[in-house]
Amino acid sequence: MSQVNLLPPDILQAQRYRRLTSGVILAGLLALVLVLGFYLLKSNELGGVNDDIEAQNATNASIQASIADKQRFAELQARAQAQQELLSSAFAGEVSFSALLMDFSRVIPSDAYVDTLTLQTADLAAEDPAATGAQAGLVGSITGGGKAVSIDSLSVFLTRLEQVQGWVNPWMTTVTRNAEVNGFDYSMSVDLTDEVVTDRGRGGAVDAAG
Amino acid sequence: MLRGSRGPLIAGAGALALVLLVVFFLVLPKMGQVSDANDELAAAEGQQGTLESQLAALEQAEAAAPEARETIRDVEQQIPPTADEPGLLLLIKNASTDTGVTLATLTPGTPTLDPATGLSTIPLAVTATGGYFQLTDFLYTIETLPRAAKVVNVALAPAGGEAVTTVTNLLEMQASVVLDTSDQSAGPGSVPGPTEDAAAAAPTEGT
Repeated sequence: MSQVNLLPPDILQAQRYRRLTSGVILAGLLALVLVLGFYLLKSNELGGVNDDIEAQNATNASIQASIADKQRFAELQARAQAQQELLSSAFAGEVSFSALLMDFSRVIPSDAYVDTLTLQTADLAAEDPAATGAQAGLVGSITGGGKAVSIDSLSVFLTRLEQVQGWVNPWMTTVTRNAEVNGFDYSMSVDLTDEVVTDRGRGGAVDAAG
Repeated sequence: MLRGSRGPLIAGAGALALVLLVVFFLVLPKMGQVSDANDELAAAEGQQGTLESQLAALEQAEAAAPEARETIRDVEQQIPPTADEPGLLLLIKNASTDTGVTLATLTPGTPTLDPATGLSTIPLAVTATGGYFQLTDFLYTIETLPRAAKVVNVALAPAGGEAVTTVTNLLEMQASVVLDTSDQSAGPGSVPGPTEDAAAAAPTEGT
């Protein structure tokens, strides 16, 4: 038995269009629901991130409060450093004169002695140390005069003067026979380099405790 | 309206338009907000790192605070906030007593402000008599006083103008010593008490 579709073709076509339209509307609604779902997801994520920001800001505020509380220690440290620098500037260019005298006593020959001795340093802290008499690398000088038994003694004296660390340019300015003591009068000088400057005079390792 | 062959097209266009509207006016702004919030969170987290570094440095400073206080105390002892001439004279006198030298004269000069360091320098001329090694010891004692003192010149000559002497005989020493005070206005005619700011030391009219 054969089947015969008696529905007119235009009605069939209209039914097909209605079904298609319904499908399109359904697909559109589905897409809208998906987009709205994504929107809700993002809204939720935003809320979470805002909570994290709030928590992070609270943490930061707490750390900042601790920083403000401890700021005085930074100021204390800065003040201590400034004081240390002040002490360094007070000792700038310092030479130990007691050490110079000890060294001098070690190098003078046993058959010679000094009548006068002058030890002086240039003001290294001055803006222009050269203006105060200091030559390049020289920080001061020792000058003196006295008597020696022989010229040999004075020669030994000069040699020994040069062997002291930081003492350079030893020089006998005059050597004169003195019949009264059967010897020689002399006057001498020796320059001092920056090697004689103390550690604290160099601005390093200043011990605040002295 | 949705009937006929154009129905699916119109429905599709309408649905697409609606979805696009929702995307443009709701979803994209929300995504932008989320991105901004994430940036803000990252910045806040970065700030925490910086703050923690600062806090760590301050905690180190706190741990070193006793040492810093001791340094300040020691420096204030070595460079006192006032000229303290009585203390200065006693220190030199005690140094001479301890080393057995005889003090002849002490001439403290007027303190002068060194603008470079902010310290007032007190020149002190000392004349003392003693043996060579006594004078050496005296100089060492001055160099190691609890107050910062710097010897700048020393001259030795036979004591009492004797024509001949040896290193074991009595010598007269003339020494120039420099001491400091953090008082920027010190000495006769200055503003009494400690002055840390030179401007404050300047005399003002009507005072």
